[in-house]
Amino acid sequence: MNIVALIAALVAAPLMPGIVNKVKALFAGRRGPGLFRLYFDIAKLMRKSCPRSATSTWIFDIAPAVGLASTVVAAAIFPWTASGDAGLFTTASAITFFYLMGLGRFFTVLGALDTGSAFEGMGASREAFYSALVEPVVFTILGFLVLLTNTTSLSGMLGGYDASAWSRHSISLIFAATAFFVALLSECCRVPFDDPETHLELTMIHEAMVLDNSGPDLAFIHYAAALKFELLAAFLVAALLPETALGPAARFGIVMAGAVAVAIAVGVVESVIARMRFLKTPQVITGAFMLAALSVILYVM
Amino acid sequence: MSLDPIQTLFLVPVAVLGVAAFTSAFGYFSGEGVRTVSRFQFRLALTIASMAGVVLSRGKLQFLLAWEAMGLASAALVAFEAHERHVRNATWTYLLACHAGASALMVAGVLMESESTMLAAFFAAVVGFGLKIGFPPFHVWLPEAHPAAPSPASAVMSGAMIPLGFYGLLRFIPFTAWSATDVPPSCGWTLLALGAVGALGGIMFAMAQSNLKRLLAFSSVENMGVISMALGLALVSGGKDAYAFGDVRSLALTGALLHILNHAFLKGALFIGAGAVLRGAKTLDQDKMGGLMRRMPLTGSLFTINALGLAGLPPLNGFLGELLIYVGAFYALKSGDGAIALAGFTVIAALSLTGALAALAYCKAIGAVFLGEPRSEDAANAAEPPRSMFAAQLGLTVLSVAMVPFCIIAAHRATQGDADGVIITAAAAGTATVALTLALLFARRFIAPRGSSKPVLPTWDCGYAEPTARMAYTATAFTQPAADFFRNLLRPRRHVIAFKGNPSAPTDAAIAVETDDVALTGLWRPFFTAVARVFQRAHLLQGGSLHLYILIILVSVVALLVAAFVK
Amino acid sequence: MREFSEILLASFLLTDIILAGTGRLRQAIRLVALQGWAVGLLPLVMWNWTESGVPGISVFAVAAVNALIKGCALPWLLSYTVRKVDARPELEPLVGFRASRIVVFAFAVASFAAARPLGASAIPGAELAIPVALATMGTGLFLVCARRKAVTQVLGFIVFENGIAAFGSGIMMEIGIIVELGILLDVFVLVFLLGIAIFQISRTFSSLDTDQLSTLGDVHLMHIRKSGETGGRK
Repeated sequence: MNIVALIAALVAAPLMPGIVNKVKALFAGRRGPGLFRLYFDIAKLMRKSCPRSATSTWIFDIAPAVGLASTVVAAAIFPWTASGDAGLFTTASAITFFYLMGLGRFFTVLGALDTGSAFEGMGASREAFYSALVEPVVFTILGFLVLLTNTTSLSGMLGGYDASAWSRHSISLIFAATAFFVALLSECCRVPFDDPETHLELTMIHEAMVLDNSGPDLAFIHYAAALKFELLAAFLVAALLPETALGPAARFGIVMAGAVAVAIAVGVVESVIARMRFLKTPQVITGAFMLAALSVILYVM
Repeated sequence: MSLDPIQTLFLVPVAVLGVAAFTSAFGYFSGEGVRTVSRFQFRLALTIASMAGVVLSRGKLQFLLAWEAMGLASAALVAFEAHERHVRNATWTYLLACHAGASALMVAGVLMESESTMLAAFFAAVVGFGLKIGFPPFHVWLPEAHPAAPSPASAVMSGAMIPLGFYGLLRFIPFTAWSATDVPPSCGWTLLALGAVGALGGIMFAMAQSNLKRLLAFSSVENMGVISMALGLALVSGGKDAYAFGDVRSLALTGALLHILNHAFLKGALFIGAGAVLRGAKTLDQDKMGGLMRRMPLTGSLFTINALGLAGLPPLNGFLGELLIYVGAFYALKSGDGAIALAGFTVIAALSLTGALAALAYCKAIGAVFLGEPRSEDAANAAEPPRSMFAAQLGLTVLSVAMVPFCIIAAHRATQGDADGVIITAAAAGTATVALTLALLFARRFIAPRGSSKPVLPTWDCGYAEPTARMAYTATAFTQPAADFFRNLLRPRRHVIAFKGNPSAPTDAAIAVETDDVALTGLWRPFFTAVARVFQRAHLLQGGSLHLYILIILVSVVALLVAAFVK
Repeated sequence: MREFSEILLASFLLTDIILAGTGRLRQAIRLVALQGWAVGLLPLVMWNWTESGVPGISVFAVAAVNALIKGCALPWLLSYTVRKVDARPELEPLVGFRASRIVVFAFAVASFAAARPLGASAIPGAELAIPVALATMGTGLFLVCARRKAVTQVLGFIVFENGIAAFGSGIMMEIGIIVELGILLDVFVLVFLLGIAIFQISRTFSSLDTDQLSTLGDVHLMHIRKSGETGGRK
């Protein structure tokens, strides 16, 4: 069952940026690109060749593939349908899930530095810095989930509690969810941390890192970014969804619907607020860390 | 003579790194004559012998003797290039740390004779061994001695010698105490707190260094901190009901011991790699390197793999060791015991930030040293070092990869199969990532349109016609946002040469940032200056005048008489 | 109603932390207004509706007075003053924003740690209210100390009073109302006076920097000292 859900999730991933862009277009009063734009883009990129920089080495060559492979494996160890303790989804998968994303980022950053370009170096530097700040936020939230569900397996953490926890620990859950949403915005390079729409290299982070990639490599990168977005959104939804009597198919449906809702929320956030100054954004992440820590404190009290 | 498992565990890095350092010494000193090589290898052999002596010694006195011998022999290694001033200074710092540590250990040895002073003995031992391990603020000798010593020596010292402090601690806390309840929780909390500060502080300073070997030395402080955190967690949970929290303790302890092995192989290979870079590019300043991957592909590739492992990322062994510590900390959270849960939470928060910053620090090291375009003449003319250096690195890297299945077996045996699912999932996920990457690379060759070769062009860089190395991000620039964020701790010093004259025809401008060790500049230097000042005053007593000496004798005799009468 | 009171009390913590990190005067005033509304709602939400039935008119009165004064009147007065005296829109901190936030966060953690020994859990519904109230009071006092502008100090004072009000609603539902009204009146008068004072100061000195006020005393003393010296020479 989980494998079917995984394939469905892999197929649906490029929809996510489409939804965000559609929401932004609606806010701006435009028609905007179609929901399926990224599918066409990927298909187009797949037919192009990959010119590569004379400065670059094997690292630049394998970086997009590592980024995509690690994200796909992270998707494979994510409990799309299960809740409660279940075989494959051990404690390790909770930690490995985020460390695999770290592996992808490590190579993306190195690939950017490999070109020797000033802009890509700048993007790489900022990406590495933001992700370093986000890491404690995410792991504090994981710790909170362990406390809440009293299990350490990933599938247990994600929704291993009954609905009454929502009335008993509503504040903690809201705080943790908000903190994770901020972490998601930063990890997926969305406003207010990064503006994926910008055309000024100095203000870009993720897009600046991949300026020299093209062809199938760029397709890998775009797809991996979309899948990462979907994964983190699904994580957020699954963590908020208590254990229900619903079957696995229904749970998967709810998780995916929730991921779409998160995408819409991101679109709304991007429409109503502007990208922040680079020096200001770390404060947002430390604020998110405080929220996550408060959720633990409120839970323990 | 039979070895117990702990002795074996600490002897393995000594032996392995000894062989690696011996081999790489041929390459490192090639072109300097046989005499230099053999002089170095002699000192190395002495060091390794005394390290083995530390592990093998049975009694307290034997141990202390071997410990002192180890300090002296390794000081001779640090002082190998003593014709340079900074090497001599580093040797003095190191010798001072060694002797201070040994004297603290003697105090500990006396105190541990009595049950009532056991806790005091523990703290004395923490200071004594901490001076070797590099607990903050006793870590000051590491970033001085490691860059000064020849690379093979740094590899042995960082990978095998520093962890011997943990061997001492493990021996000091009677080995049965791990399962008993008589270790006071303050011992565990001390190790946990020192470890957390060491791990976070170490990696922050590592990130901000521009000297490659200083970066690696601070990274050793970080890794020792991680090990210490895990030992602290094991002790805190061991102080409670041993049965209920057995899984926390065994996971944390296994993770710590595996991390000692992982760190030994990975850091050994990295230090030898740094030696190869020094030989190739004639500098250790990361801001003057760049582009070495195309000039030294073998060294560069091995350095990248080992750095990936030490940053704690899957699929390599560094990840598996840290993973067990993480899992232990997560188990501690759900233990239901407030103190243990707090310890677990501290470990999770500190370890996650440490891990992410380690990834940043190693990205910087790889990016600045091996990627991009060379930033100096020497770097542009760099070439691969002799093959023996490469062989040493390759051997250590192979051992690191072989550690992956070994970690699984060790975790299986240490936790009686409880952690099997955990560690196998992680190792399988890592392997799957490697396999999928290879599959994607393979697929990409077929997707690309037929008949069109891959065009190779200059870096686009948004249309700059002539990209030069001066435009690329330097090591300092790469970590600037993070270093700036933690500036209150790091206290970087900026040297700015600003634009002068006519703004339409500006002169050269430059900025350089130095990050000193705060513990050295803020604590030890003022401390020793004050001590020196006090002793300067004491010089008055030794003024060279006979009358003064007689007066001193008179005063002391009278004082003694008075003391005797009063009693 | 427990969830509502939790949400409301959590919003106190949130506004405290955001307030410590904000650099904009108007945003700070808005946050304090928000907290004022929360203070107003708090007695109604903390009331045990299922057991005690519909509360007396006094509870509603306190809620209305609190919300109106702290949520509307005082913020309006402050923003009016700011507009009138043309204060610069930035807060001038003595302690940096990041450090302030960490301090306030530490306050929150410390008050949670302190609440249990204080016996907060013995009173139903107060186990969250008391630590939040303590943290809010701490934040208020900290803002008074750590910001340079007179307007910010007034804001800090209001936050401090919000903490007292939360404390009151948390533990002394019945008798506390009178006390609470008394304190409220105090603060109202104080803020009113401070508002007028700010107005006067800015008219005289065209600045709201209280650091410069402290030199006033020095000038005065110097003057006395000088006259004393000259007197001695005579």
